[in-house]
Amino acid sequence: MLFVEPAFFLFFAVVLTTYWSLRTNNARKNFILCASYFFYGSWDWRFAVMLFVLSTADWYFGYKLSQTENRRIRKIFVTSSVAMNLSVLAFFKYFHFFTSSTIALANVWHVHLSEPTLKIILPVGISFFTFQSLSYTIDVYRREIPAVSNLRDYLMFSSFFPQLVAGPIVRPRYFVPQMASKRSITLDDVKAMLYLFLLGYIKKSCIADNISPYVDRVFAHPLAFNAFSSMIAAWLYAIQIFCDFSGYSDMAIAVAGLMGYKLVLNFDAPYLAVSIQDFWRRWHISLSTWIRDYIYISLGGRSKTKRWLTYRNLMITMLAGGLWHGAAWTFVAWGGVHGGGQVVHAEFKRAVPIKESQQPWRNLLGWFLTINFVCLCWILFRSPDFGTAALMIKRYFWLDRGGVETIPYWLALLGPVLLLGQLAMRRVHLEERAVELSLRWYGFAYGAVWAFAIAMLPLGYRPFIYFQF
Amino acid sequence: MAGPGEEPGTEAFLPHIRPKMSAVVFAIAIAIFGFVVTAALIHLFIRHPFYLHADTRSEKLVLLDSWKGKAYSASFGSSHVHNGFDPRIFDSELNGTPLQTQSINLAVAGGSQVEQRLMALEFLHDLQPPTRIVGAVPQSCMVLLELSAGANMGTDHMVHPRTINIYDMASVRFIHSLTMPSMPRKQRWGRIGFAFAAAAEHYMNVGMLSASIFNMPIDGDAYRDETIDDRRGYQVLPAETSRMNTVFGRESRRGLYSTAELLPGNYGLIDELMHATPVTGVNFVYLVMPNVEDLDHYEIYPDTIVVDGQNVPIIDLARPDLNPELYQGKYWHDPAHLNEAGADLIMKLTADRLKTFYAHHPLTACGG
Repeated sequence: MLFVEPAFFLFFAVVLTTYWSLRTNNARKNFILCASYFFYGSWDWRFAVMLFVLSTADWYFGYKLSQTENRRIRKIFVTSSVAMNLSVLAFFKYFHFFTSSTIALANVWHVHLSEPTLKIILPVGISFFTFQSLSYTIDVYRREIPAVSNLRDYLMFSSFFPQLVAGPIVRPRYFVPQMASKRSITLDDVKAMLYLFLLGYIKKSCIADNISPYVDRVFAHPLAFNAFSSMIAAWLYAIQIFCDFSGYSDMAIAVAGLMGYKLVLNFDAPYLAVSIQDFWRRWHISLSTWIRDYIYISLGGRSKTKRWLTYRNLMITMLAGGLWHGAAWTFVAWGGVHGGGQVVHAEFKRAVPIKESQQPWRNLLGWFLTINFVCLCWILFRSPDFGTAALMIKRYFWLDRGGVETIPYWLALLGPVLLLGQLAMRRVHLEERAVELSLRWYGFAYGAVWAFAIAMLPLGYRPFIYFQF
Repeated sequence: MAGPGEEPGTEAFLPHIRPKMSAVVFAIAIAIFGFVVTAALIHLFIRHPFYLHADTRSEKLVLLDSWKGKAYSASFGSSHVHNGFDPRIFDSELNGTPLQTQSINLAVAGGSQVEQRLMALEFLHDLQPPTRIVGAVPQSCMVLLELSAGANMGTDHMVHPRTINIYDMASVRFIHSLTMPSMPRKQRWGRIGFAFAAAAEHYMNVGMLSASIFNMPIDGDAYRDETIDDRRGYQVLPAETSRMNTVFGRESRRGLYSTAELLPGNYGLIDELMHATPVTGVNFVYLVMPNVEDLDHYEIYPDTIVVDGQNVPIIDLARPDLNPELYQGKYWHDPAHLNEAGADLIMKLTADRLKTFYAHHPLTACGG
């Protein structure tokens, strides 16, 4: 059940109506819990069972952590939780990756191994909910938050359907307190959330899904297309992945918001970033802050004495972030290149400090270099193998003229148009202006934009890219 | 909702504006009004939705375009015709007779009465009679329609451009004419319900604007498959003799039959097509395509119907009692589709029946 499917609209209409008709907070939480498990079970009921077992175990570890002051026992509980979540993640997501990599390595040494024939179905959103659970037990261990005493509350936190399958990754310190009181929302909130849902729907269905056939064609047959088409395809993929994922996040935030729950901002115009570091402050914010807090900081974070230690921690963090995205070496390389880019940028900033007078043009140059660097990295992210990636990167720099097939050249304008559109929307504070409209004008505009959105549907629902992660 | 610095669960989450229910209802009504007005405006801007990209139909429209002024006859319908009507055999069988023609296959796999109506209208719109072409030999013009095609597209095409782009009010009226009070209620209302749902999508322009902007290319492989060796839209299916022999071996052969009931729309379609073209002397033919299930039960159609004074032959190929030779494994690809040898055989049968029919009925030269 995808957010853009009619089935979800029906599901959410029933959920929303029932939810607001319930009087007590407990009844509402019970209902959301049931709805969340129904939502997740609609993919495969076995996933729901697994989620329940994992969540219950994490709640138990958290509860036990709060019951004891013994450091050794506390360490055992937190290690158990981390080991359990990472083992589940490793098995479902990385089993084939690790076995095929081991076999390939063994082949180098002329040792021939065969891959075990094990069919593993990847549970939807496993990377999201395992990271969410990990943050809970680690935070309780670090005494940053109290343990959740009520199992029902914890189960609701870990399965909250708006963000369950593709984030944003919600921290318990942010979400659990919201569950303590009965939610209410204002009319302005409703307007803002409806606006956000429609914006997300347009990003996903009208933009990402309409351009994905072009991207798929070029990446499936890279040899056939000429250099300019390959370059456009790389730009289009940058648009596609942003609109797909941020569109999902917008809809998730809106769906939660319509039930009175607030989720964290996950994207903040990442393609307007003026450096790689700035890009990671704006892209998939809930994941970047997660890996910063639980990997980078755990490794020691920024070293005041040794720069190389900082860079080592950064590289490990980014490589792990790359691997989180998918079980393939191309993803690891993608993370590594982003880490390397940040290291180079940090060194450059040390060598050539910014003067006040240089700020505007350095920002412009920084933006240009960053967006092209990010697009090149997306090639690595999207390519099925390093060969395809190398070919596409050569085409990006026009080092290879390529084949004869083309995709429409006007698509090259899509990126600048959307970027300018985003700038304009931020400049005029479109969301605030929409909320300020009177109810009748808001209603008219909302209906009119939906008419456009439906006319722009690509016909054929494509799953959200980040579901696979 | 609480701002970033505010603690969730405090007053910031409490409502400070409670709209009246009447205001909310009014806003919803206004939203619907805004939707309808905008959808109507967008609809005005979308010209020729029939030509918007729509899967396998698009390839047939490209074919039609490339044969403008060169094809005088065409077959329409579903996959039964798409995989069963070979224009090369058909033309060669009629060559040297008053029926000689140059034909193309404009049937689309998964097609329906609604789709073949529009394809036929498009064909007739562009038809140029051979008498107007200098140096051309006299040819007959024929429109061969599949009488046994489904009325609507399949339910799997409910949210599909092939359906959405063509279900306007004229299509809904046509579907209504393909129902009768004597029909089972479920079938009748199912047909009408599908048509209305598809028309709602059509007037909501579902996907039509994106199809206008992101105009997808046609499937080059499919088009090549339909045009190599001068196939002119006919798609060859391979023989599956051993598998089909098994099917024929286990198929029950009850041999039941009943009298087919023609619907007002079957007459209405011919009448509409007759009046849609300025070209005179176009002959209309109905085809009933065969199926393995015919061995179990088949319908008996009249040999001809008369529409607006013109005789329209019904070439019934789904008669195991008349064409027992057709029901052998070597002619079939699967229980619903013929292979190349099967198509060859039914083309000969069709040509023979047409020659016989027009030997006893008047045939006017196309454009004459």
